[in-house]
Amino acid sequence: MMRPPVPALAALSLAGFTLSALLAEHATLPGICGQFGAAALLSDQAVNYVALITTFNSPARLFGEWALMLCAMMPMVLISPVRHIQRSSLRRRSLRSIAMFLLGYGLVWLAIAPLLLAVGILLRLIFDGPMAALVAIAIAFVWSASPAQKRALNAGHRTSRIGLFGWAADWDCIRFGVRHGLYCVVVCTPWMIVPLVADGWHFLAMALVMGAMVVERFERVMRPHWRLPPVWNWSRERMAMLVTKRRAYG
Amino acid sequence: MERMDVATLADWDPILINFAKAMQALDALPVSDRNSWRFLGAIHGCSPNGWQQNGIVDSASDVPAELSDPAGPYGRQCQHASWFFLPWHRGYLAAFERIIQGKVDELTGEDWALPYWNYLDDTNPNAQRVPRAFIDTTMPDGSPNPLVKYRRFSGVTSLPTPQKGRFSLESMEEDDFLVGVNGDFGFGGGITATFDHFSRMTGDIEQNPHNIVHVDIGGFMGNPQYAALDPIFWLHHCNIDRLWEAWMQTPGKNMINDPRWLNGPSDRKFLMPDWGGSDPGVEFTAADTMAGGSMYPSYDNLTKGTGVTPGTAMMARVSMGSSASQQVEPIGANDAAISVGNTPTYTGLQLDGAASSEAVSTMGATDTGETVTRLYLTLEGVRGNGSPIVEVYLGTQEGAPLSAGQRAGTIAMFGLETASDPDGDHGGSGLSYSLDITDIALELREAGRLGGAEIPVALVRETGASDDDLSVERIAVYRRTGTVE
Repeated sequence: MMRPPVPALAALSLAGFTLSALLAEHATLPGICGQFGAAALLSDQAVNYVALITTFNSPARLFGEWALMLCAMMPMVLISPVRHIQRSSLRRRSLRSIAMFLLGYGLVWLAIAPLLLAVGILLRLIFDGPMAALVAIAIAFVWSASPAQKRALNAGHRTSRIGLFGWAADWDCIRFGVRHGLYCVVVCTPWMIVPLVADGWHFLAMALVMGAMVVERFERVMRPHWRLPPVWNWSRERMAMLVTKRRAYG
Repeated sequence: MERMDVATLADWDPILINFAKAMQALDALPVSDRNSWRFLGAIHGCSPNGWQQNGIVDSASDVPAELSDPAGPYGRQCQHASWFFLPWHRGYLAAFERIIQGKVDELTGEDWALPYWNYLDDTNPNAQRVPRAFIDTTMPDGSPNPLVKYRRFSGVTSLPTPQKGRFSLESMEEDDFLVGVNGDFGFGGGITATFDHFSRMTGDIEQNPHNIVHVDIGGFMGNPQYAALDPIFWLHHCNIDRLWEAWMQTPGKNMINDPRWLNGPSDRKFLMPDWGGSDPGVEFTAADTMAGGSMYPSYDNLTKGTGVTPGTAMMARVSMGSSASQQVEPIGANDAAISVGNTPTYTGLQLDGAASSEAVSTMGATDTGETVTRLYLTLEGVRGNGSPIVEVYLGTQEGAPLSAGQRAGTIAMFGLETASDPDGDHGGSGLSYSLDITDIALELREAGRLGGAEIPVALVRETGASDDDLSVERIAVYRRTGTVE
């Protein structure tokens, strides 16, 4: 059986971050949410302002930057489902199966991109400067603590059958990717808004949000209930491990 | 004090009388007392509402938060279908034994150790009988026997006769605690880095005889949320633990040394109450349950009823090389998820031509340096109600009579309902099982019936007609490849 996919996924993530960093100077996605203030977009010239936005920030370019963000931020979140596909597939078509899964998964996130962008713009309309990012982080924390999020997170842990042969197997992988993507959207959307409204610290926000999503992804499955956000719990447990001693008998 | 075979004790040996007295005293304590019988039982699993409905507690709110809270610290701990199954239960038994020992000492001043139920001892014709102390309604002095208080709903007085592929010592033939990089097969259970009430792939010993004994006894023993309330639970698990110890002391068995297992799980500690129940309790890892560790047990005999002789290599199978060098991969599967009804449910396995040809040709190899293959049938993503027992047949076409010779095995799905609950501690992921089908595949090969386009598989509920749901996401064939040593 192929070795677990962690190195390959980490390399993909690193490539995504590297390219994002290299292209940061020319990126339009981070700034678009704050490109024009509320006054402009609420005026009778709003249509012209929107036309300006889309002229200088083509949808294709925006989707490209979004896809690069996904490439950077999502691979480490997908360790478990990719491993499931790896274990479940014929060795000779393992990479194909993984590609089909990523296709289904990516399509969901690409489809949701306009909505996320709209939410980001709305936040920047309501809140100025760094307040928009703080509000987005607060929303993400509260959502992370909720039973509804935990229910979606638990559902995201469920695996799907993966066929072994032909188009049926491809379809199983795409369907698994779409299903996993939908649960991931429910769980992660509040976090994914943060880099969009982070402006000058967009790149750092990408890295921190990726860390938050990975911590949440690996929170163990348990009955949905209100709890401290997984990121908070993880940090607290790591601090506790530094200062307490484990005790067994003797 | 060494743990002893309950069959070597008198029906009401002082060890059993003292067990009953201690249980009675601990059962009288409130469930919130960390040394109470019910607290100890809830550590394995607890459904507060169910406990209330069954009269175990007066109110669901009587169950303290440290037991009912999904995050612990004490409740919902039992580790199943993962490599933590054996070490967690060993630590659980150690803590339980220490508490019972403390109470026995307090009541009588005598020493005490947990006995084991040696139900697969082929030198004892009565090995499968439930020990009298766990059936009699009164003790020798005429007082009510507390050991039967939680045996409601189970009238079982004897386990069935041992049967190959169902209730046997076949798991002791496996040489590797876990196989390959991912560890989905093997003696001990699949790899998980985290705390998992019910994880993915059930290990060989957990499946047989652990699960089948739970389900065959039934009643509270058939449900992980209640099982540890029945006193026979402890003798059963003591024997499972003894089998593990006997396996580890047999040359040629490959026990793991993975830091993730020794020091895990990574996200929540195993925690047991100490005698007296005061904070901070006793945290432990798998390392503490190994030789030299503080939770390492001592048994009077590791040979009778184990199928192995510690110190002597077992010759049941050819050695396939180191665990990490062995390869595991799927070579066939059915084409859709299935629901198992009340009549035999059939599905067909399609095999990959190239992979299966190679696998078939290398099954049964015995010469050093040769590639050798074992085949496994897996039931993956099994979800359902209750704890069904399912027989699996290989190679019989629909409509043809099912013969014992084509029974690949019997799977007792202990804990299935818990693992299938979408809002439970396993998120509804269900469970997965594996059966070693190498022997039956060799027979099919000899009969020229292996290598065709499709191999039929039949699933039959052993327990007969039922309204309980049961579905299987995928049935697959895996090959495990190694080099004969």
